[in-house]
Amino acid sequence: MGGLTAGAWLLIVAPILVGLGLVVPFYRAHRHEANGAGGGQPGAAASTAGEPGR
Amino acid sequence: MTGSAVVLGVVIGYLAVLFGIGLWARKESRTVSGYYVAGKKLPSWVIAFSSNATGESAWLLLGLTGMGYAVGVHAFWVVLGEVLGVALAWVFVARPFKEYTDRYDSITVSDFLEDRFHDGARIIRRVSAVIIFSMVAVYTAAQFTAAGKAFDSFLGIDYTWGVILGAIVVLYYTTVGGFKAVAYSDLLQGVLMFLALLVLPVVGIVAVGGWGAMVEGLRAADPSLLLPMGSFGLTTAGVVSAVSFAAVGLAFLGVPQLLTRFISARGTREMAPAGLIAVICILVFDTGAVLVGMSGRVLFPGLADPETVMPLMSSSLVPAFFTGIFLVVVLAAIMSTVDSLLILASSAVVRDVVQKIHRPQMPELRVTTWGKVVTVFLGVAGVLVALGEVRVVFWFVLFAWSGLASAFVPVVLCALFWRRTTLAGAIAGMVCGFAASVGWVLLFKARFHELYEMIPGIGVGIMATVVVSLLTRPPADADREFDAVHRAIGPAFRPAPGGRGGGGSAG
Repeated sequence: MGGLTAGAWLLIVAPILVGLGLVVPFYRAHRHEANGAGGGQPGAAASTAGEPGR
Repeated sequence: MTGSAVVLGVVIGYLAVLFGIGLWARKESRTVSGYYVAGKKLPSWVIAFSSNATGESAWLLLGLTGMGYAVGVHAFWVVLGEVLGVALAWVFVARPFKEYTDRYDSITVSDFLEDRFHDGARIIRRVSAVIIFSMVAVYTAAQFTAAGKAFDSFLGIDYTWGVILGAIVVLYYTTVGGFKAVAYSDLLQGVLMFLALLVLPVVGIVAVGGWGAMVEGLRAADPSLLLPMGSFGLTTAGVVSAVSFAAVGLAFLGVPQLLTRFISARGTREMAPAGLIAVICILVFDTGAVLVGMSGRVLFPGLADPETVMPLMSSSLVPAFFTGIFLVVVLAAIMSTVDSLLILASSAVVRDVVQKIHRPQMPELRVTTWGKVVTVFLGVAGVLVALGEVRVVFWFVLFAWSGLASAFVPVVLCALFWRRTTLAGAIAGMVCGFAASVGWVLLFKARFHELYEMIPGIGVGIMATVVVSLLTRPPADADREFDAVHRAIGPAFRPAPGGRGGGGSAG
């Protein structure tokens, strides 16, 4: 097929399958979420480290 | 107007835009948080392109294209490794790391590690600073060298002036505009790289006569160029080569210059769209680069230096204006990496050591002023090294990439995903991982089929972190923090509790 072996084609398409296979379900799961603890407001985070507002 | 004048005009226009970005972003650079993480306000598309443009230096455009030229389909192991590394980083690392760093109000990776392990003696901060500073110096010098070579090969401008010109522009917008200028210039540079690596392989394959003609041309040149395991075949050397190529992508899981992009995001919700953009972007970057090399092998057989194939193709196959664009793209890849490295090393010295250890009361404005001074100092040092005899660009790039990854990836992954990790374990992992990476190059690499040093580096780093952690006590409250972070963000493939990206159930 296209002059290449099946192994070569598998290596060429594997990055597409692996990359999109991981990131598309991740995107679908989290696309509607609101921002979390920091939310772009450094110093306002709910610190659990005992040194808030660095 | 001659071809060279057109190319030069395009380059000058590009450099002028970078100066403009530096001026536009300068207001943000007056506070420590603004100078080092753009006030944690960056949207998904900026952090996505910025992380990829930072991760992919001149190595992508000159090194990976050269690899496609030299080994053909076998170079797709690099593509697989990098795409996997980028995808895993966004899916599994970005959200917990962002959640932790927002809770701790961290500005640097060292801030995060110090708070995660309650390191009152600030040992991990000092160790990080030494490793970052030494590796960034090597990495920056190599990138300036690449800038000099690019000006030389595209425009015939003297190597020395090429290095100096590249350095002046990067230092200007980095010191004036801080991380905001760095991130937005990375966005511009990332988009240019994306478009170039979408177009140039098509131009190359069409010039050869189509996909079938390229494959037949490669087969005629050397049939092993079409085999997944290359000329090695399915042998120990072939497997080591494939694994080494793929391992280049492991660094995306935890090198500090990329983790800083997660910190600078305006929230955890940015990670989902950013991850999707980043993976599509890296697919185009890497696949395009390898295909440029493969088509170049048929068009320009017998090149003494395969890493000149991309400049050669762009100066031979397209009009002068587009040759200028492709030179800009090479410069973009270099600058987008150098600016991030300079600001990272500056933060490692000024924020992590001077402000946090020696001068906690220093006013913000003075801290940022010192940050800019250190940025310039590092840039000048990089130029001086580049003007010396450092001409083997990509050996240094891969060495520094591996050194940073071996020191930070094991510790960051254990800190995020193994609650039992201790301060002593983290320090041992960082030191042993880094030492293993350097030691492998000096003592063992040649005897083990050139196995890439990042593999033993990360392996030893993880082992040292785990063993020493099991022998010592984890910090008090680490369990509670760990549970709070992971409860807030939820699993990677299911929506977070309450539809929030994090922080919904802190404590």
